[in-house]
Amino acid sequence: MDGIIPGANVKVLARAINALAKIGDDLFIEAKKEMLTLTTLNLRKTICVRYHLLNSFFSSYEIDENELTQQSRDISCKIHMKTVLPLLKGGSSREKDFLKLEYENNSDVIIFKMKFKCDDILMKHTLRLMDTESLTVEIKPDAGCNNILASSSFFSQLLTMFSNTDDEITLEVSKEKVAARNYIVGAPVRSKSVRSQVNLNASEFSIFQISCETSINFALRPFRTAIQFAESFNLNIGINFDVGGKPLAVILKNPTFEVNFIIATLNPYSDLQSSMATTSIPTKVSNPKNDDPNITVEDQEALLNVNWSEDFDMSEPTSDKADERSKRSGFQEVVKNKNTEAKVAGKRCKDFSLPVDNLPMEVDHEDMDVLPPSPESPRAKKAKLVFGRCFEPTFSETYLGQVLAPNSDSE
Amino acid sequence: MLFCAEITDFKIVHNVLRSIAIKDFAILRPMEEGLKVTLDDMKCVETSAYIPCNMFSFYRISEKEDIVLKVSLKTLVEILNIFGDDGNPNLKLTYNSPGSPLCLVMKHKDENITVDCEIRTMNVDETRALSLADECDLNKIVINASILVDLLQRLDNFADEITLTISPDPPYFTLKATGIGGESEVNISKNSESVTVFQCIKTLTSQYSFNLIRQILKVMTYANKVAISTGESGLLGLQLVISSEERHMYVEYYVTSIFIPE
Repeated sequence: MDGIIPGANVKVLARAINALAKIGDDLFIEAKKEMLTLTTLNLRKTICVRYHLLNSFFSSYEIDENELTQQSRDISCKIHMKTVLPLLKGGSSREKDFLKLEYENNSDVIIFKMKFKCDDILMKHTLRLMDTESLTVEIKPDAGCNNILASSSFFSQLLTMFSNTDDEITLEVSKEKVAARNYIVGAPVRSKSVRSQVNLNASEFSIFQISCETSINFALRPFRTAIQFAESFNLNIGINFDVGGKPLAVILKNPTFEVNFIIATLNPYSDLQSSMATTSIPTKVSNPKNDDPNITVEDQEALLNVNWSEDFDMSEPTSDKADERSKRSGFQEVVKNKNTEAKVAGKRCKDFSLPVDNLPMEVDHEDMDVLPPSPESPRAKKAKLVFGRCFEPTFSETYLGQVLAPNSDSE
Repeated sequence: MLFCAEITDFKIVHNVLRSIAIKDFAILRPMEEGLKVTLDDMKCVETSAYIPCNMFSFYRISEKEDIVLKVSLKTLVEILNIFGDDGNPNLKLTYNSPGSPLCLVMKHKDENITVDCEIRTMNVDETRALSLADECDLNKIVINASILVDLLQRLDNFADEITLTISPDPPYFTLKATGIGGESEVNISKNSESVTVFQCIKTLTSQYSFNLIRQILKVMTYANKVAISTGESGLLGLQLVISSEERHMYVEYYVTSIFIPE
C-alpha cells in the first residue's frame, strides 16, 4: 500500500493521530480499496474511534488488488501509538510538502516519509509494527433512530458549561428539547461538585430528529476530544444514538474524510446496577495466521482447557455476553499470537476485569476465641501445585536410589 | 585580587548556564579572552560555555598566573536568577586569591536592593593537556541551529543511538536514529540553504548515545548556528554561537562515540 498525503492534509492526519492517542494505546491501520482507516479502542473497549481517510484525501493512493482478495477485504497492521505520535506531534513548525506512507503486506515495518518545504529535507521513519491483527467493529455508526446535528462551535460552547473535572454527561432527550446534565437526577450528591444543567431547544440544532425519547449517559472525555477535533477544522458534529444502553456515535463528515467516535452508553435510570465495563462495544480482534510453530498442538489444547477462573475471582453477578466474548477472544490471542515483544504480553493481561466487590468475612459471634482461618487464596492453591515438590519430604527413595544420610529436619 | 568582572543584561548567560547545568560542579577559568565554564561528565562528555570579555562591562584579570577554580554550578545559576525575570540587575564577580570564595554582588537597579553572595570554591586537580578542538579536525559542517534542533527532536522517537555520517559524496550529511520503535533517517545536502560551511576530507560514520545528544538540545534552542566537527577517533564537537543583541557567547560540546567492535 502506498499513499501520498499532500501538505495541507498532513495537518489533518497529525491532529487525527493526536486525537486517537488520547483514547487508546494501539493504532490499527487498515487499507481498503477506497479508503484508509485508522482505528483505536480504549482499554475497556467502551470507546472506539475510527478515522476513514478516503481516496480523495490522498494525492496518490495505490493498493495492490491481489492482496485484497484474501479472506479479509483489507490490508491491516497494528502499531503502538507511542511509536507514531512523536512523528506528528508538535505544532506545524515546519511546513511539509507531503507525507508518504508505505506498507507491504505482512511486513514488520511501516514507512513514513516526510518532505519538508524548506531545504528539501526528506525524513524517513521506519516504524516497527506489533503483531498483525485485524479488527472488525460490529457496530454501524448510523444504526440509531435518533439524530441530531449542529456546528462544532455550538457544541464547544455547550462544553464550556461543564467543568473539566466532569467525567460523564447525561442527555435527557425528548421530541422538542434536550437537557444536558453532568449528574444523574436522584443519584446521591457528591459534595464539592457543581451540578450543571443546560436546556436546549430543537430549534437550536441544525437537525433534530428524535424517534424515541430516552435518557442517555456517556463519557465526556471522548466527546470532548471529538469536539476539539471538529472545531479545528470547522466541521459539523452529528450525533446518532438509540436508547440509553446502546452505543452512541459522534459523526464528523468532510468531503475527504469521515470520523466516527463510537461511545458506549448507559440509561442512568434503568441500569443503575451495572457499570460501564459491562456495556463494552462488541469488537473482534483476530489474528489471520492460524498456525504458530512455536507452540505444539498439545500445548495449545492445554492452554485452551486451563480454567483461568481458578486464579482470578470472577465473582461479578452481571456479566454481559459481549464482555465474555471479548474475554474469550483475548484468550484466543494468547494462543495464536507469536510470542515476541514483552510489551504485547503485558497488554494481554489487561483483558481481565478485576472483581468489584470483596466477599465479606462472616464472624461467628458466639465463638469469639476461635477465629476462623482466612480462606485459602486461590493463588496459594495453585502455588502448591506448581511448587508441589517443595512440600514433599526432602528425600524420596524412588528418585535417587540409596539413602546416604537420613532426614535431619524434624517436620 | 585575581579576577574582577561586572556584567549587566546577563539573562542569556543565565539561560545558557542553566541549560548546561547537568552536573553539580563546574570549573571556572577566567582567561584573558573571557570566562570559561567547563563541565565534564564521566570523561566522555565535556561542555564548555565561553563568555567573552566584551560581554562584560568591566573585566580585569591578574596576568601572573592561570586561575582555575571549581564551584557549584547549580548554586551559581540560582544566584543569577535571584531577582527572577524582572529588573535589570547588575552583577559583580570577584575572586581574591586561590581558595577564597567567589563573591557575587547583585544590585537591582530600580528597587535599590543589593544581594551579597559568596560561593565556596574548590581546588582543581587534573590539568588536561590535549585540546579537544584540535582532535576534531577531519570534517566540519556549519548549519542553522533551528533546523538541526527540529530534526533532532523529530528523530528522537525514544531513540537509543544516533549515527552521523559526513561524506564528500551525496548524500552529504546523514543522521540516523535507532531505537525500539524503529529507525528514522534524514539527509541534508551540502547545497542546502541552511548549510553555510561544508568541509569534508573523507567519509566518516560514527555512533553516539542519543541521551548525550539530548542534553545539548536544550542549549541549541538558544543558538543561531551550530558547527559540527568530527575527528578520526570519532570525537564529535559541536560549537554553538549564541547571540543576543550583538553580543555573542559560545558553547562547545564534545562527545565520544560508541565503540563498535569490528
